[in-house]
Amino acid sequence: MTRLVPALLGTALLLLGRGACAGGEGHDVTYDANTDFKALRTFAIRDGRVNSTKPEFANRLFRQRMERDIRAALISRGLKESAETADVVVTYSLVDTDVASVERIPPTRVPDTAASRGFVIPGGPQADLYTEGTLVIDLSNAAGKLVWRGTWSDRERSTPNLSKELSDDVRKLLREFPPKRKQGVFVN
Amino acid sequence: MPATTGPGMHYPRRRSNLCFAWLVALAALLCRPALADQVVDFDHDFDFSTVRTFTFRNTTMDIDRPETRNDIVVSSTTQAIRKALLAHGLQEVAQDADVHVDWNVFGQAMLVGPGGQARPTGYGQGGRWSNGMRDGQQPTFIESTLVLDITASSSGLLIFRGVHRNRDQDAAYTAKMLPEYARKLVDGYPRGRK
Repeated sequence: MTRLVPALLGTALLLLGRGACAGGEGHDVTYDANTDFKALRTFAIRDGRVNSTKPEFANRLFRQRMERDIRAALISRGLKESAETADVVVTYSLVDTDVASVERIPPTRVPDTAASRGFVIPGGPQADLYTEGTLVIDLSNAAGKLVWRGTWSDRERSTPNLSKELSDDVRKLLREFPPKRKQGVFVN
Repeated sequence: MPATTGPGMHYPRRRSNLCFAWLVALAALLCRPALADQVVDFDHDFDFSTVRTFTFRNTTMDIDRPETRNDIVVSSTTQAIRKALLAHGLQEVAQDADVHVDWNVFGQAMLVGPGGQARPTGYGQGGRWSNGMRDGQQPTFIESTLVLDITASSSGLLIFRGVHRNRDQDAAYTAKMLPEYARKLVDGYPRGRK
């Protein structure tokens, strides 16, 4: 049984090393510091643009889900949806790209134990394929001037997973709306 | 456990090593990226309780391999979807159905070179996962995508889409698993949702 220990450890370390998530996300928010965001009380969602050929994204149901997520997030921020004249017009866009990179896996040394000798699991290059999606949410005022832009980039090895994650990404991004004012300047 | 002399003195250490190994192995398995995954979207404004009948429209197999592109695989995948929809209480009819069901499978074979670079390849290249690979060479795999669409016949609008992606070792495995992938997608059908 004890001979299993190093083998198990080695396999586990290998899996951990090679299974390191391609997943990574980053976001950015920029806004017009001269806008009084507290005066913005109503919103309207316009058609989003999805620049993708992937079946997960290129369909009206995905756009419907994005709109639902944006609507829920803005309502939770205290805004109301207005079918007519709205203080804020919301648009969004999504682009995706497939990326193939090479991950360099270092050799993994499984140490000696009392019962058996250690060994080395050779490392080497490993393909890492993932899809990166970039979601942009724009908020413009009634005059059509862009007052807030949030950008969220997410990368996943699984495109369906990326599609699901985007719902959370919308919520996380819009948590930063409206920007907080501190000592005369807005901060996130 | 009492501390003993002789061979017994190693027991606590062995046991803790074993526990640690199992824990690390479990953590590793949990942290592994999900390479098989699916997503289901459906029309939240549509009353699914009105859907009682379905009919198959287009069934397309675009993975051009003998293991996948044959009537047996196509019919077994269709059969799996049919069975799952019947289990949801829908009935199959030849015409005037409430919804049309379409499914499509496409895929891309990838060859991973000795340097780790993955590149799309034709299905004839590379090979199956085997022990006979050259040193450093990794297997060709197939990234297969199954798209299941359900369209309302009255409006022509897509009301349900399920997408399942998987990276399989070869086309034979993909062919074998397709009915299961299809069944999992139909599991997300919002039966009776108003």
